[in-house]
Amino acid sequence: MKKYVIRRLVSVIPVLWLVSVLVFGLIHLVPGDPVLVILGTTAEKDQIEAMRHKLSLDRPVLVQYGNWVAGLLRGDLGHSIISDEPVMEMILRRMPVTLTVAAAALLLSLFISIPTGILSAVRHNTYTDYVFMGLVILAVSMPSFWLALLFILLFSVELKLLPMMGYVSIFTDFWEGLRYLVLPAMSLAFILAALVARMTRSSMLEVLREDYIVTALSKGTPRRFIVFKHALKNAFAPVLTIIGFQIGFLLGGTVVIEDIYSIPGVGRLIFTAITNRDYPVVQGCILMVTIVYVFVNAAVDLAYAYFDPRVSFDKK
Amino acid sequence: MFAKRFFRNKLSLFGLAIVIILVLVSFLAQHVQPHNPLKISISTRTQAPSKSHYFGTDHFGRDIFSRVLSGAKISLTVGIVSVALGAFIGIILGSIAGYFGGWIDYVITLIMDAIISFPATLLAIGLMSVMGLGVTNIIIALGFIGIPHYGRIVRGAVLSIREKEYVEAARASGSGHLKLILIHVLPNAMAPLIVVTTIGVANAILIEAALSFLGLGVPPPAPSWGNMLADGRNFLIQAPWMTIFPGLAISFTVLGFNTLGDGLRDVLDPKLKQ
Repeated sequence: MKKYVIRRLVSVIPVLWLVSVLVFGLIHLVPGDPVLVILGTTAEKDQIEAMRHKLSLDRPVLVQYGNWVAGLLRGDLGHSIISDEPVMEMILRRMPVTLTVAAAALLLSLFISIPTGILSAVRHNTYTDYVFMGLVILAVSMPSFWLALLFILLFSVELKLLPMMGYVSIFTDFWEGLRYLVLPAMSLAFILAALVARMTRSSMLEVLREDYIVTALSKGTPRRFIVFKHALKNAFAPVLTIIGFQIGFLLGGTVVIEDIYSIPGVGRLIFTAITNRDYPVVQGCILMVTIVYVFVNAAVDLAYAYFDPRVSFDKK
Repeated sequence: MFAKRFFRNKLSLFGLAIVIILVLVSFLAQHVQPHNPLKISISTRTQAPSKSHYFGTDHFGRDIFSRVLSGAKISLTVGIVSVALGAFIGIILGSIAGYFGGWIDYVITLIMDAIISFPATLLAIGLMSVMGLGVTNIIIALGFIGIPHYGRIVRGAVLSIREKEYVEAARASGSGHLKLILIHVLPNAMAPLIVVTTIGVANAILIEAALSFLGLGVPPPAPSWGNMLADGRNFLIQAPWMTIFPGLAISFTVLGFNTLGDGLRDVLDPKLKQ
């Protein structure tokens, strides 16, 4: 297991390196001269040269990349063109907000999906199963940002139960923070819950047909005990994989949801930066969120190995 | 055999029916739409759904029903063309990686792993923020994001049959690399590829809508469903129909492609069924 952990973590290094190349290359995809795009065509020549120097665009590309990566390894992602603040500080200040929203959505989705998936599997081919799976197909088709708008309409405008937008940290005021978290988390949780419920159902169905479950049932072991004690743990490994895949959706979705609910996280930071053509901030945000995603996925893989000990790099 | 199984599968038929309706709507929109989707009419601003405007009107007095119909063409074009682009490049890269193996495989797989490491929506936002608005740029961005999804499937299929006897025999009888890949290898990857591309269209449509909603996709006044939702957001209380109908159109379209993909998966490759 220790060897597996080390090898999985080492496998992340080349991927992260290439991710850094792609993120660095973003500014070079700007059509024409990025400096003119930032400053506008009416900028003075010395302003243009100063900005070019500030962004290191006056040096060869390889030198630019080398300096950028060296800074990155020191935790320096450059400075914002607009506020001159260090990009890393700007992101670290907002990252907990984004992660809180994503974590709330994940928890809510698991709270909905695991019982739903189990119930569908246990009541396979009954009306309960059909209704749940019908809801799953519908939920997967609805864009989270549309749901967010509908939730505002229903829960904030019509029922006046929850705040329309804004954010209060749950670490400052737990209950008030929770009220602000409910709608963003619900908007993101629906699709995720649907996918996880579907996977839980199919995975449970597979496990419930295994010989050892049939034997336990024939011996008179209570069904509830079998489902929760034996089947669930073995069915959980594939469910974890789908959760790992969907963390990317969650982080990407959070960016959009933050814009709708005016949540001061990394997503809002990206939009402000895009509007201001503050490319170092855009690059920094994308890089940091992707790094989080890569490590979360690695953690999911390690958890997978825990739930299914047959998984290992050593047993190819 | 396939057709028989396909037409017995209710899910596939349901999805296919929706997709056919959408394709017809996108081609016939300009003939069946009751109003010009771009025509501004200040006197009919934010009118609720009625007999003259089935889905109501927006803040410029434009007919939402006509705009929803026109939006189908944009969504389908972006969804299908971007998936075709990503699948085309993915198939080439996946075939090369799986067939030649060694360092070529390592490099291509690494590139695909790196692309798939980005949250898709975030990468799309990043690419569109530097490339600029427009349908062509969305197609390029979404095509790029899709490459590893198709490349990985083809690579896996190639790896699984590369050493099979009939491939060895074809190789020994003088078949070139390209012929081997096209005739013997790719047909084996077709079933999962068809399923993934169908669901890929649904995902591409969702991301396009998100990008346009954020103002990073199709530039206004083009009636993209995402653009319409963005407009609706500012009139959520006064004119909720501006938000409800474009969202329903997106959901209906995604539902069609998802169910068609699910149904095809059940028919083509039951092993993939989740």
